[in-house]
Amino acid sequence: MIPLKPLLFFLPFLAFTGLTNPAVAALGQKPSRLVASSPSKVTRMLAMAPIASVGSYTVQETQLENGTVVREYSTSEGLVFAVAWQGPVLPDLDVLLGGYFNTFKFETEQGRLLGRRGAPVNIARDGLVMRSNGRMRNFFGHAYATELIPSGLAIQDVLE
Amino acid sequence: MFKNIVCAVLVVIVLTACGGGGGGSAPTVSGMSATTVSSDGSAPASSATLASNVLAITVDKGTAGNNVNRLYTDVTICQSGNTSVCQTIDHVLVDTGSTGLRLLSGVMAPSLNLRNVAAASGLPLLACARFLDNTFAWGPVVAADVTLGGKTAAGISVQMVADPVFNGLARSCSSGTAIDTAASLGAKGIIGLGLFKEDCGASCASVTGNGVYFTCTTLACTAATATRATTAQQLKNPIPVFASDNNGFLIDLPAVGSAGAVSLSGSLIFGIGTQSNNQVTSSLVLTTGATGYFSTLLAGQSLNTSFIDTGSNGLYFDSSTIPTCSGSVSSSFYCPKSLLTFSTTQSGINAGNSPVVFSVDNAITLFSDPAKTVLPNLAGAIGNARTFDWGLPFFYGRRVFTGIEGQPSTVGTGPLYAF
Repeated sequence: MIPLKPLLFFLPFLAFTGLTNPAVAALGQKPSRLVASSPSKVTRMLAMAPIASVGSYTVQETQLENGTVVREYSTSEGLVFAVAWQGPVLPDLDVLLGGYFNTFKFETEQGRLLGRRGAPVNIARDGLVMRSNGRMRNFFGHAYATELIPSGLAIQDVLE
Repeated sequence: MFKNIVCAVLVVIVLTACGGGGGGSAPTVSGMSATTVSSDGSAPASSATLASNVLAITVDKGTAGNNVNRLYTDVTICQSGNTSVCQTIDHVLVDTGSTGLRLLSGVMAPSLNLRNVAAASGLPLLACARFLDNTFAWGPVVAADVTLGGKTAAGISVQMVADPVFNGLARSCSSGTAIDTAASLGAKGIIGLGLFKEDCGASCASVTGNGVYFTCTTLACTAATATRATTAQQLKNPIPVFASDNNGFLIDLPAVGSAGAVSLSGSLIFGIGTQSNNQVTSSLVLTTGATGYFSTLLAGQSLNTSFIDTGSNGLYFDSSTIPTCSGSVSSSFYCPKSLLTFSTTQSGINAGNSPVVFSVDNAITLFSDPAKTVLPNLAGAIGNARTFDWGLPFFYGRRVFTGIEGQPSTVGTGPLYAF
């Protein structure tokens, strides 16, 4: 029932650290531990699992204080090529999507204009693939930048 | 070619929108006796055929032109404990995928003067709801008596969405698109009547940074900060708060031919097995567990995070065989050459399973008559191999019971569905 696939090298969450860091990093940027804070956001990190290396990429899993778990998938060059989330509230998608947020914004606006209402998000455009799903109290989804996926990696196998 | 057709349809739809809904004179209040419900909960004179546990529901174009398959009702709100200061608001979206009543502040009469609910700080409690499509509802929590048909939930928390007093703090909630007008929402508010009792639950009562509740940092309220909210303070599903007929509800909408219809009327009946009008005649019961999800078996695939949601305006699922419509937007509907019919089976965490047959028609053909807002065969891709989102078309021609969490009924204790 948990849409996020268990991490290969998953370790138990750390105790609450009281960190006020921003949640996570954006697609196409460095992972969250390296990113400057975003003080306008009040999302706090509850715990962060150690980075796990899985072949050609690494995974950083973060549990936000609001209970939502976010994963960042990074290339060996240290760029986030995919993010995934699951939990009671949607994460700050502008933070997660970075420069791809405008594509998400445009596509959802167009979708509403064309009559798609209250529906899950299903986008594949301008280098962004994004699926966002669920209902209040139980959300899940992922997004990836197609040009950043390590060569030979089957992205669906990674995310689903 | 298809792109041009879609754009033409869109233009027609938007022009229609300009003529309908929205505007009008400033809202005013009235006494409860002037509205539709008598104080003892008996059937109102204006709709004598409705039992006290029945709420009239409608599918129509709502307050925006391009609305299809959206379910509306009237909601009456009164100052808590004061039946002489009330307002009935039409075209509130019935959404079984969220919880709580959220009303656009612009449609609420200022003279309602609803009391702000205070956070632990003593300063106003503010609520944030982020929806999948990058829209969000932000605004203060106020206390009101909420009447649906002949039933009242007294003194519950309600969100005043896009209250100008707090709009400057909306970025604390989301960077998305604020729900702020009836034209953009396609409704004057949202009434969330789902499987759950609150919009958040226990976690918001214990966790400060819950992502849902906020409060002002100072009396002047120039900044917002995260806060806890007790379950009593959170936005409520009003049904479990009713004095009776409070264990769930039945949505009863008539069947619609595949050509669709201009509008549709039906009933939302409170209670499960509590009155002669809400007896469960089907033995097919799906219990969902705390997540609210169940499993749909489609073409040999088990979609185990499936759900039922009046707030979704189509049937959303993935198919490798149905073509999507060609057009300017990738998040498109399905456009098969002719009507397709599929068989599925639903199963909950109990042993129950329920067969459901549904059809998919060409969305561009369906949209070609902008007057039709009831489209039973509208479907689109979801982008997830494990989910079937059974939106409003699922409810046409089917009696669908929703059992609320922790509430016992003749078919078990919720969360559950029966149909």
